[in-house]
Amino acid sequence: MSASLSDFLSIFARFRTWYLMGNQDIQMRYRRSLIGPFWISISMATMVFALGLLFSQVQQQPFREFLSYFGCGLVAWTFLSTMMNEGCTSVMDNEGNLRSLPLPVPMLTARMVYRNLVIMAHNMLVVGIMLALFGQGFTPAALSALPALALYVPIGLFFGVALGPICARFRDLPQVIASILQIAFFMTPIFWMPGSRMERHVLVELNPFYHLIEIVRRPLLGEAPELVNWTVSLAVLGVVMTLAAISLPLTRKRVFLWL
Amino acid sequence: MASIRLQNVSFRYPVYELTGRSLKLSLLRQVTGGRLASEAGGVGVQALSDVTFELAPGDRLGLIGRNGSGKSTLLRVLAGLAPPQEGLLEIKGRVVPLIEKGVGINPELSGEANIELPLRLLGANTEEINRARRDIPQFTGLGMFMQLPVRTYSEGMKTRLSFAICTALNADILILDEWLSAGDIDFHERAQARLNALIERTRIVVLASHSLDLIANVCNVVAWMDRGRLVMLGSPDTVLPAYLHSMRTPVALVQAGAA
Repeated sequence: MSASLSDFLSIFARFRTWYLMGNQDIQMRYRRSLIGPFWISISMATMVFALGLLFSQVQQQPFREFLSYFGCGLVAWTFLSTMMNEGCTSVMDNEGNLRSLPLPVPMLTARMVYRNLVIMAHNMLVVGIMLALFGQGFTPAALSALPALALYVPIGLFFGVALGPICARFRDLPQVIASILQIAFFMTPIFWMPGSRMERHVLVELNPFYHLIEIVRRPLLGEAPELVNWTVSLAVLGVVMTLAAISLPLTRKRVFLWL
Repeated sequence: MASIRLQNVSFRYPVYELTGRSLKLSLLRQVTGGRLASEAGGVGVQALSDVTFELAPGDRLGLIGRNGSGKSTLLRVLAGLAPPQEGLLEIKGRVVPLIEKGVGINPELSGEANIELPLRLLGANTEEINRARRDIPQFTGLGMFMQLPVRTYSEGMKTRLSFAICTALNADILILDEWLSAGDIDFHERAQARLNALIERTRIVVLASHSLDLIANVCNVVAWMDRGRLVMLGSPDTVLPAYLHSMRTPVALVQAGAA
């Protein structure tokens, strides 16, 4: 158990290592382009605007209101789901290094989380501009989206620590997770609004992603999230923490065999 | 203080893809040299069995044996990245594993930008990295090339860079695979001097090599491995002649031919 703990604490002890790796990841993705990582912002802006235009027509929603709703939800979803997908591959992505160096899995997961945090910051820029132009602008309530986004960080981290090694053992697991997340994207109110008929519907209320999105989206739209949103979100954190606490001691000595 | 203690250490690689034990496996036995152990839930390659030895400061251990005899696995066990399934492993001191060439080097980045990450992965601190930044350009003689991406380097230049990087660290225990002895002729002498200096200031060195000359020059203890077992452990004067003798016997020739 203490070995697992020290593996985990390597996130703090070796922060320069994952910080450097994460920065190189970003640099590699957007090298040779003039605006670099701001491509992230531009592609997100294009996507939000185009799909926002389309779905507001399809669902006969007022464009400005829908655009804010969709943009905030999509950025939150992208951050969370990318971390979950990449958490599954974080051990496999480091296969070469793991074959010749003793590197703790939590440190490699931190690299992935940090990389996604940087991408999310670029996407938030789009949300900020969008809310200023089309939404109600900045409200003090929007600041309470920050602790919500901060909650995503340990969720992504523990999810990756729990599943990264297992995905290295069972190579088809990442595809399964990706499919589940794909379905969850359509099942979660992101590009559709739960109108009066869907309000408090079990399909919405029992979907943990709905609550996780709400704690970020509502503050950005100037509303306060409900208590249940935060309760479920914290429960999700509890679940992934438990999974990580089970997975890490079981897998830490075997990861090398699964490369 | 630096010390290494192994007691009855065994290491087994599971082979997940193989389902039936068949001709393929008996061929595998010839190729790998490892003993194929079968057990419930699959087939595994017994890479190390029952290895026991101790090393104290001042020891330079040379590992010899034909391909697949367990040298690389033993290096990885000593480096702490392959925890053995059985036996006791006790390592005290800072271990620097130089097992593979070019770990952490990103070909898209300049030589200069490639100094930090490999060293961080090996566990270097900021002070050591700053020293390496001053020392590496001078030692490699790469000059202006330090500012260019590593992908533009010739093979020789890449070797120089990765050699210089991984010999920049101080270790209590150094785990070396034989690639480190490579380099072009002009560079060779300087490299040899640097490697000797590194070995000189390291308390314990473990070196795997096919070059018996190198082993005889560097080591004061030699371990002869065969099929995962320690056949003989002792001074180079006793082990090397016995090893050479066994290589010339007909049995060895037949096995070498089959491999």
